[in-house]
Amino acid sequence: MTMERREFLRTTAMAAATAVVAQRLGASTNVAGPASPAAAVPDGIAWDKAPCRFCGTGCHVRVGVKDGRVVAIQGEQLAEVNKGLLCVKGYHVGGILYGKDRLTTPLLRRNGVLEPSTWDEAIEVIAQRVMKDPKGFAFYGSGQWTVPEGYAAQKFMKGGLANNHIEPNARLCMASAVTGYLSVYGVDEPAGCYDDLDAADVVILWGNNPAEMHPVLFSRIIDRRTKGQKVTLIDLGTRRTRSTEFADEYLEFRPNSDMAIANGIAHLLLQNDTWDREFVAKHCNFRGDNQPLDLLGKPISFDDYRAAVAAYTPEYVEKISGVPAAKIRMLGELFGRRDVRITSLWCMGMNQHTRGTAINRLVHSIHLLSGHFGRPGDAPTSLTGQPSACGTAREVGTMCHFLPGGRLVANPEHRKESEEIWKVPAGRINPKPGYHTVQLFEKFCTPTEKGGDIHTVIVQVTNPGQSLPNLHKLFKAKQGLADKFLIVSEVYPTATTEIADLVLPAALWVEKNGIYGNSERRTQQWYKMVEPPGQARPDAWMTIAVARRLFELGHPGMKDCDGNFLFAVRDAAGRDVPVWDFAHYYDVNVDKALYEEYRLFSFYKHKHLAPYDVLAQARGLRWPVVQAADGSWQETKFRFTEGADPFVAKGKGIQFYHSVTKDDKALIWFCPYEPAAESPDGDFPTWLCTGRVLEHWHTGTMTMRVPQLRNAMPNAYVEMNPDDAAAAGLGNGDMAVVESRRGRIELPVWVNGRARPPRGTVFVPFFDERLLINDVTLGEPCPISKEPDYKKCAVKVYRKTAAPKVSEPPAPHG
Amino acid sequence: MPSPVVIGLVLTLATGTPAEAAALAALRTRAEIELGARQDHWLPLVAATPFPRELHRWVESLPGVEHVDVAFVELPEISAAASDGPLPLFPS
Repeated sequence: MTMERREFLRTTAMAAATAVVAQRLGASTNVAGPASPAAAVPDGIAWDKAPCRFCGTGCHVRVGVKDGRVVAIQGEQLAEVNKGLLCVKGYHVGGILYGKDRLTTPLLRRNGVLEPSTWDEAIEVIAQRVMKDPKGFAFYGSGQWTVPEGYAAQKFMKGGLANNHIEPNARLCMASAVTGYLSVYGVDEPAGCYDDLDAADVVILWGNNPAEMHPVLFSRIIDRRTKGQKVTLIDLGTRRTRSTEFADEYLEFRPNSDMAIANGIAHLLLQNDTWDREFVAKHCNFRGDNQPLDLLGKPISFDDYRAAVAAYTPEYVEKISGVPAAKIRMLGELFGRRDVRITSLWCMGMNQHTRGTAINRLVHSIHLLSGHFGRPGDAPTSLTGQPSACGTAREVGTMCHFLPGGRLVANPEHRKESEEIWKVPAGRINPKPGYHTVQLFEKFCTPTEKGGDIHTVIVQVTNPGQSLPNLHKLFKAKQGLADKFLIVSEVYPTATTEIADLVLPAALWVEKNGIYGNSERRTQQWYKMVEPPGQARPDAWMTIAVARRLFELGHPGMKDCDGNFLFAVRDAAGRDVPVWDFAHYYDVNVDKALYEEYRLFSFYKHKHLAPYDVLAQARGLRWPVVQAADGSWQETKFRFTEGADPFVAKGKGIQFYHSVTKDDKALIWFCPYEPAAESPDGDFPTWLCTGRVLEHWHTGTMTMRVPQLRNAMPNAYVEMNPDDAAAAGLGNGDMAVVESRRGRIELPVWVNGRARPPRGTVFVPFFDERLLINDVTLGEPCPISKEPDYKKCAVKVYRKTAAPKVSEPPAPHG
Repeated sequence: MPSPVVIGLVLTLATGTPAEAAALAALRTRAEIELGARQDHWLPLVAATPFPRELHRWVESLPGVEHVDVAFVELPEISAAASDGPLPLFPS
């Protein structure tokens, strides 16, 4: 590298850091902002904007490209989400493109060995598997699908094959948040946004660790303290985390007892007569569960509700949760105050829960009961772990029971609207929901003659061979089933490609165009900046190419009402472009074509998306986005609130315009505390909790290829309480066996680790493909959301006999 | 040794404390570090180092530094950055 270039980069880095400081001193940013500095600068680096590839925060980065390679990353100063900052993963996001073992050619398993193949052969193999039995084909994607990728898969399956066996891995991480929002407000996704973090007096973390999982958001909270503002942080958790280090209160509860705590707060609001009578009278109805449990429950009266929460006295809640009654009273009194604004945050702790829907409802309910809703800083807000869990999984609706834009396959009117937008014959869409994720993989791993009616699964942008619970049952059992066929589109070899029959090399992040939707309803667009390696191609192209081959083979579902190809794309002159032929894929912007069609679905639930060209100029826009009289496009920060949400009628103040009860009111729920599906006992006396770490993102396939991140956290470990470790004769670096009724793994011990787990509990991160903790987890799902619980099961932990001592685990830092 | 890479950080200082002065003094001892114009609690910092993560951790560990945010990072040379995935587990 020349001195000139080094000096240029130093200058750029100083300018970036100084701009962040200027932002913090109060310089405002423009929502739409000027265009990216995409033009080449004197040393040849061209900069353009993109959302980060990792979590659901949705930070924007500026990507520096030179000679066809990403050479530098900086936080996007024009982005409201991160205001020029990045976390340690975002820091290295460019490095994920350049692992040595990128998959660059299709691989087909022959005689048990994956051998190089061609795209033509790969597409033919897939098409033939589908043609043989379209009903037994399933599509499994993720919240890392771009919006157009997920939309293409959705249309292909439900509009083309009349097959609803399509799921995203988001079923495993935020399905309970979805059912929570739907059953309280009648429509999915948070009403508030990250601006609440700038206005809240109190932030409550419900089993949430944003210091490691959403660091830029956490920094936004902590930074307010630096400015002299008082922000009280209350951490409700089953283990201490890095977030706890910043908390004013840490309330440690027994697993699953968060439901009792929420009911205890409701009890105190009523007992102390500090609930918000006016808010509740105007804006709320009451609900309780049906038996069996379902999404919408049954109406109950206020008196029924009062009677139900009456049992949850502070002392009773203490007995269940272990949280002192005085602290429960503190929470109850806090929610009873009108002079503070309270934001609740949660993520996997509440969602990966056998009563995930219920605890989501309860947290919304205490905000509604206390009137802590609808003002900036007063918000119950779920966070997501993937960059487009909201944009693709939830809004595009790539779940087995959804159609795009919040519609349901079981609803005849919704099917009709979808068929009209897709221009497919009436009756094309199957009214029966497909298999949810756990069912889908159960059916795939069950012999056909025993009812396993899924014969082929295509997986895109996710790694179920590591992330599914109870892997022996739900994934590994596929091996040896001769008539089962696994297709995996991937970037690197993974635990999933290991048993795949066909591997497709995929383009990653800025190697293709894309659109993501983050946790605060913000839709973000980017353009392709570099070429993918070898023959790697975008996932949307793969779907369209398979669809085209099926069209050529005569599959009737691949034609619309006019006999045209389902994914016909035309250029500006109206000529058909053969985008299924990769040589022509970039002759037009396929993303734009797919997105503009998908956008038509967004109006039904008032999730209006901005036009593609408007998105292209912005650093994300929060829906609903509507056009003002002056022609500008205006985003929405706070839904359901007059003055902020364009769909709230004048004079209403708050209006829940998709109310379940059709009267503009939200639902306050009572759901009883229930114990976990599996609790420690004499044979398996210890709670196991699994999760993530700062340095690695989910299953580590990308971050384990960035040396700085891999070296900072090179392997998984079991985090143990010192007394438990001593009782088991274990010390730092000793090999322990973690065993459940489903499986066992061997791990090095890290006493206390980062979290100081309570006695009787251990924590294991799931990023390490060599140490699959999901061989051990239970995966019992919430009966409503079907999201499995990864946070609670019973294990025993003991010393591995005659094990070699391994190197000390990584020391905590940062 | 890997090639140096350029990083841009934003430090939040413990303003008005003895530790702040000590942190500033320590930062000035490192030749690879260039400090920008401090404003209020915040100090821009740029460094060219072959070990950016280590430097980041060192800065974070200074008692007068309350928080470190990342604003810019140059990717290491491809040959140095590339990896073929997880290392062998627990090499003997």
